[in-house]
This record gives sequence, structure tokens and C-alpha cells, in this order.
Amino acid sequence: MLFFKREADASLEQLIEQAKNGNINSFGKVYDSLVEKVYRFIFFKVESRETAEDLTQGVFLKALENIEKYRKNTSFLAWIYTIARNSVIDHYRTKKQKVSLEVASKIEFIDKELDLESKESTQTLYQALRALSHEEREVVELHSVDDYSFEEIAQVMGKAPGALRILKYRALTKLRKLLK
Amino acid sequence: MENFNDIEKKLSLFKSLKPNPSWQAQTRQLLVGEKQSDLVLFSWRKAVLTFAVVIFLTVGSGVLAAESLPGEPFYPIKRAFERARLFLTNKEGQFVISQQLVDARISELKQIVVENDQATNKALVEVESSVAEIKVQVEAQQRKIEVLQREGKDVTEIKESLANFVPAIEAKQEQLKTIEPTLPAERQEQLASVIVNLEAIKLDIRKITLEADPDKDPQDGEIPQVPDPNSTTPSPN
Repeated sequence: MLFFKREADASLEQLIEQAKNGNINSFGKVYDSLVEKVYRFIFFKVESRETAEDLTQGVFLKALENIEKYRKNTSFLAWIYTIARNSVIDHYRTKKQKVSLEVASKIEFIDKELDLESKESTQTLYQALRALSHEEREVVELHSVDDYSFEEIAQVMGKAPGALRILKYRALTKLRKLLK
Repeated sequence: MENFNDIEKKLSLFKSLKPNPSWQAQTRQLLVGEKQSDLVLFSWRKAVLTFAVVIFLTVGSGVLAAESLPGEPFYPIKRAFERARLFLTNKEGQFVISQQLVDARISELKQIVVENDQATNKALVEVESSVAEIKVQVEAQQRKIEVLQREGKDVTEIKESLANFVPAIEAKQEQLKTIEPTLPAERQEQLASVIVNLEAIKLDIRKITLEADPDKDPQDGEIPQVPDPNSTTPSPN
């Protein structure tokens, strides 16, 4: 498992390098591999499908515009998630919007294959997730939903992997209590 | 009581939370360009668009595509380019471009009616879909107005610009009416429904633009409702 993950990372780095050298198709592959994760990252913060799509599009446009500025020795994930985080901040700043507790009381799942029971239990879990702190929620999303390693999340969140493990343990403990 | 594994299992279901596939494909098209390989990356968005436009207009197939009509081999390229143009424009501009695309479709229809009877149906379908796109844009503007009103913002400007499109839509209806008699009977019916759809859009716009702002003081520039003199309801006085 770990072997494949490292191989995938190496491939992502290669694609980014090719994109920096002007290969637009490689950028397309980078987009393919990250778009759903970046979308989810934003969706969990803005809780609106349309806004998440608009902001995600902006993130990849900014990444494309600035790919020449991305330095190879830094983490691309950290770079693109920083763009995503800043886009959400800008969104709330410019639109002067507040996170509504009512807007996304229910989320729609594109995946129609989910059975009713799974959908209901995911809705309940979604509500529980909202009771977590911002950081707890983020580590859970990135680790349990998007399958990033703690080392990768450390780059995105700017925290030590050990601290993130503890943070996630606390988050899961809270979730367990909330789901009782 | 749920254990951590159960919770992890449930969390993994959030993987099904994905963007709309058509949005995803459109965004990819915007970023990468359709069927364009090994293009040099440009450092900003408009450069990408400019490059695409230059390619479209200078390469032979681009010129052919620009002149193509529904049913012709290059027509899908023309439509792909139009979609990209629509996609690259901001939300307000999308409404204007949607209208221009209706004009383009009507113009194609006129040409086809004269040149090629068999392709008329395809052209009509294109007109129908471009009118449907306008409807989507009007609904988007309506949602925007509702959001702004909830935030207590002034929507007069948006309403005014929306109202300005009514004459343009009426002009499109007139154009279509002139084409109608030249079509075979069954196509006339099809075209009539397009005209009706445009009428519905027009009414939607009127409804949106005439709707009172719920947060606005009714005495602030609003015309008070005149009581019906024939009403049997007794006056409070």
C-alpha cells in the first residue's frame, strides 16, 4: 500500500515538473488526480455545491497561472491546498458571508449507488463532523476521506505528524460520543 | 456503541461527495483545452483563452468550424469553442453571451431553411437548447437577486440590466416568427414552442424585475396598492 502511495506521489511530482516545462496535458492529469479532493476540501468549508465548484475552478486556474512560481523542493499539496484555503478566506471576506448552520443541513450525494441506509448514516455523520473544531474536521477529512498520510497532511496543515495523530484521535473520540 | 473502525468506514462514504461530472469535464476543458496536446503553458488565464481563439481562427479547420452549420462535421468544434467562451466569462457576462448564442442559432436556422431542408430539425434543436440556456441564466440571476436581498443589498442595478434584455428577447421572437412560415408544418409547431418558451422567459424576467424587495420599506419609493373601490371589505375606519 505504502509502496503504491509513494509511486503515485513520484508520478504526481513528475507530472508537475512536466507541467512546469509547458506540458498542458500533464497539468490536466494533475487536475484529474486532485480535483475531487480539492473540491471536497472546499465543500466542507463553504457547504454549497455551486460555491465549491466555483472556488475549485479558481484554485486550478490560479495553480495553472502560477505553476512557474511553484518551487520543486516544496510540497505541491501544501501549495495547492494553501491556494484553496486562501480562496475560501477570500470568498468569505469579499462576499461577507457567514457560515450558515442551516444551508447544508443535508448534503446531496452525486453517487446514486449509495443505499438509503448509507446515505442516512452519512448525513448523521456529516452533522456530527460539523460539531468538531475546524482543525479536527480538517484532519479527519484529509486522512479518513481523502486517504492522505499524516506526513502529507502535516505539509498541508503546517503541524507535526505526531500532533495530527493526536488531533485525529480526539476528533474520532468526539465523533463516537456524538454518534452514540 | 460505534468503534473507530465503524466511524472510519462511514467517513470513507464521503468519497462519494464529488463535483458534478459535467462541471469537472468543463473545467478540465477550460484548463487544458480540448484535443490540444503539448501546448505551451501560459502564465495567466486570458492568455490561454487568447491562444485558443487565435488557434481557432487561424487553423483551417477553425475557419471551417466557424462557418459550419448543424449537421456538418465541423459543427461540434464550433459548439465546443462557444461553450468554452461561455465558460470563461463571468456570471453576468454569461447571460449576454447566452443571448448572442441564441442569435447565432437563429441565424444558422435561417441559413439552413434556405440551403438545406434536411438539417432544419438539427438547427431547431440547437435553437431550443440555446433558449434553454438563457432560461438557466435567468434562474441564476434570480437566485443571485434572492441571495443579495437576503443580505439586505441593493439589487436595483441587476434588475435593471435584466429588464433591458426583454426587448432583445422580443426581437428574437420576431425573427423566429419571420422564419416560421418558411418551415414545413411539423417544424412550425416546434418553432412555435420555442417562441412560447421565450415568452415564458420574458414573463419570468418581468416577474423578477417587478417583484418588490421584501426588506425594503414599502413607503420607500413603492407605489402603495390602491384599494379596489368595488371591494366589499369594510374599511378599518
